[in-house]
Parts: sequence; C-alpha cells; structure tokens
Amino acid sequence: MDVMGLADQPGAYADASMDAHEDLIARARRGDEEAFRLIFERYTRPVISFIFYMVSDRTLSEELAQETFVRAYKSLGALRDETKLSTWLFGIAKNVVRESLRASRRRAQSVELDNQTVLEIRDERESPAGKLLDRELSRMISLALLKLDEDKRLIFTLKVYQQRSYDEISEITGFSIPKIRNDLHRARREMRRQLSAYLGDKR
Amino acid sequence: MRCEECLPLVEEYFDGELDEPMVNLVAEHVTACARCATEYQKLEREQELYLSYECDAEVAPAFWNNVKAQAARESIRSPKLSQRFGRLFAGLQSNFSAPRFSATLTASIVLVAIGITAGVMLYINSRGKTANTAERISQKESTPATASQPAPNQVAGRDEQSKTAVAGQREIEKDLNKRQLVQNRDERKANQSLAVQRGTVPRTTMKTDAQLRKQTPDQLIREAEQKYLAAIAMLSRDVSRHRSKLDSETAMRFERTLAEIDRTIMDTRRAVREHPGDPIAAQYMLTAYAKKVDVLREMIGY
Repeated sequence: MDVMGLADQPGAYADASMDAHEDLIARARRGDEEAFRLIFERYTRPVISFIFYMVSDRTLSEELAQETFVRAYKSLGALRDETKLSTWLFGIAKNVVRESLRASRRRAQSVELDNQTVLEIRDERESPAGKLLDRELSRMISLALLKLDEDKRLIFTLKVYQQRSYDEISEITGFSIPKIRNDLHRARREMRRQLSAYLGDKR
Repeated sequence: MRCEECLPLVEEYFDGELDEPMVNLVAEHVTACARCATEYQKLEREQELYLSYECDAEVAPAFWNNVKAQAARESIRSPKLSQRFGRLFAGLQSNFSAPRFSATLTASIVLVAIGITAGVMLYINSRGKTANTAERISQKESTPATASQPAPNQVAGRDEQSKTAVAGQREIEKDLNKRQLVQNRDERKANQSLAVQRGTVPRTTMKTDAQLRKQTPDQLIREAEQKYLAAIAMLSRDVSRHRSKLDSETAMRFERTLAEIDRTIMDTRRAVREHPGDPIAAQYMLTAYAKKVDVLREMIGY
C-alpha cells in the first residue's frame, strides 16, 4: 500500500493505513530515521494547513509546523497509543498554535483583526483560492475565521477543514463533546453571519 | 419525527455524528420535509463555500532538513545536563551500595540529605512572601522568647518552612557536635561555628531570620557548603589519628569510597557553579558532602 499517497486524503489515515502506521512508528521508535521522515512527511501538508487556518499567515504556518514536528520528533517516545499518532500530532500542533497566538496577542494587542490591510501584509502570496473564488472572498473567509474566538476557530477548523470527528476533536483539544457540539454550532452561526453576503440568503 | 425534533439534529446528521437508528430517522424526515431539507442544503452550501478557501500549502524542500537540524540542535542541548546528573547519580549509587554501610545508615543519610534540600528549597521559596509575613518575622526578632518558642497558633507556613530548612542540617551537626565536645580546644572552636544555627551560641553572633532572608539561594548553598567543609576538615584530622588502627583492607576500602565521593563532590560543585540556580545540582552536591561526613564518622568509629 502506498501510504504516502494517503497524505492528500484527510481522515483516511486512521483506518486504511493502520498497519503501515504501526509498523512505521515501531521502526521510528527503534531509531529508524527513514521511518521518522516518512511519518513526518505524510502529515506535513495537513498540519501546515491546519495551522494556516488558525493563524492566517503562510510564513508563520510553516514555522509553527516545523516547531510541531520538532516537538513530535523529540517526544515520540511519550506516545502511548500508536494508533492515534494523527490526533497526537494535531494535539501538539494545537499547543504550538495556541502558544504562538498568545505570544502574538502580547506583542500586538492593538492590531485590529478586521483591518484588511493587516491581513494583506500578513498574507503576502497570491491567494490560493483564486481558482474558485476571487481574492475578496478568500479574504472575507479568512477574516471571519480570525473573528471566531480561539476555541471556536480550533473546533471549526478541525471539523470543516480537517474533517475530524467530534471524538477526534475531543482527543486533540481536550474539550468535552457537548462543548464541541455547542461551539461548532455557534462558530457556524458566526461564520454564516459574517459571510451572509456570499451565501445569498438571509439568516 | 417532527421538525422540532429533527432541526436540532440536522447539524450532527450533516457532520455524521449520529448513531445509526437516529441517522435513519433524520434521513427519512429530511427526505420528506422541505423545511428540514432546506436546512441541510444550507449546511452543504456553507461547507462548499468554506472549502473554497483552500490552503494550498507548498512544503519547502528544506522543510524536513530544517526539522531534523532543529531537533538535533535541541536534543544536543538537553541531554548534556541529564547525562551529567545521570553520571553523578551513578557515582552516588555506587557509594551507597558500598558494603560498609548498613541499610539503616543509608536510609538516615538519604533522609538527612532530603531534609537539607527540602529545607533550602522551602526557604528559597519563602523569600518572596508578602510584606505582612516580613512584618511578622521582624516582630518575632524583637521578642526573643517568642522567636525561640512560638505559640502554635502563631506559627505560619513560612515559619514551619524555616524550621524545616535547618532541621536536616541540625541533625548532622548534632551528631558531629557529640564527638567534637570531647575533642581538643581547636575542635571546640569549630564546633561553635557549626552550632550557630542550633542556637547554642550567644544571640550576638547568631544570624537572624531577617539576615538569612537577605541572603541569596546561592549564598545559602555556599554557607552550607562551608559548614560541611569545616566538619570534613575536623573529621579528617580525627581520621588521620585513627587510620593506624584500621587494617589495610578496611583502610583501602574506605579510601576507595572517599575517592569516589571526592570525585562526585568535584563534579557536583562544577555543576552548581555552571548552573547556579539549579536546585537539583545543589541537592546532589550537598548530598555528596553529607555522604563524606558520614564515611569519615564511620572511619572514626570503626
């Protein structure tokens, strides 16, 4: 089975490549560097995208993803359940993101999140959503995401963009299922309100 | 199923979070009810809109190399200290396993060392207390009777900690002083300095709590170290006198143990100098000194 090929299918790791996962992790724990690389590489893109939706900054996303994998590399021995590598890794990513958000809040508390100029400076590259929507819509979605509070953004991102189940979100975040259900509902409502002009209906 | 029951479940149904019987009920209702079907379709449209904002992240070719390099840098930094303490711990372990020491003695040494360390740590922690605590201490200093025998209801957490801080030290000094009292005048002089914290010297020469509070943790550790060094010097003189009474095999065994402890002391002192604020390094160092004191005492009593 081509386990690398699964990297582009979020949510598919846990079942289809379970055996390959366990084998890779066992090898990695024995000090096999190639196994380490395989484990890390297959999750690089999902982790970067998860972080990107949380911070809306490409450069920062890559830096934080790197930090995530370094922490994972150093603490792989602490992983108790080898079948939950993915949620474990996203849990690390979540911690890294939260630390970064806290630090950036301290650095620039006066920055208005709805200041579009700020976002343009932060996201310097060409919008990736240009193929499907114009740049304006991407910016609006990004702003709407940033306006969600941290918990809601975390849950919304994991559900909508990473297609995680409530149980997996609970494992990653440590939140209870009722909180996840509630916050996700509120996050959707807030996103709906922010993007009502693009949804073409009044809610 | 009615709309009032179905609508709150549409979102969970959309997310695939309902169990199978409920999925069937909701699916059946959504198929037949225009209102609930509209809600479901709205969720689908929203999802489509959100997913249009893609993160087409390109993973830089150097990404993995950077991860490996950073991990290597960080793993080189951290094991150094742990390896050092691992080595020191192994040294101490071999000392404790020397055949000369009974289990009781070993246990008492460990307890004394823990007491000293806990005392120093608690004392350090208590230094940052509020002005209220400082005021209480200052009042205590102005009334010697209260200071020496505080009423139980006046003993605050910090006082308890201060008492604990010197308790372990006093235990060693008490034993040492028994021997020192029967020694020559020079030894009695040294004994006096060791008895400072025990309160057997005039108040004029005794350090007050306020004075102790002014000392930094580093100074406290250095002071404890000096006390141990003084004790070791005195005991070493006694050992020199008693050495001729030991048979060669026993003497050699003691020498080996002492050499091992000296190496440990050297290593721990270096660690303390390099990491002045590290309580674990200080703990190891003081434990090593305590160990040497006990070995010397053992030699004298042999």
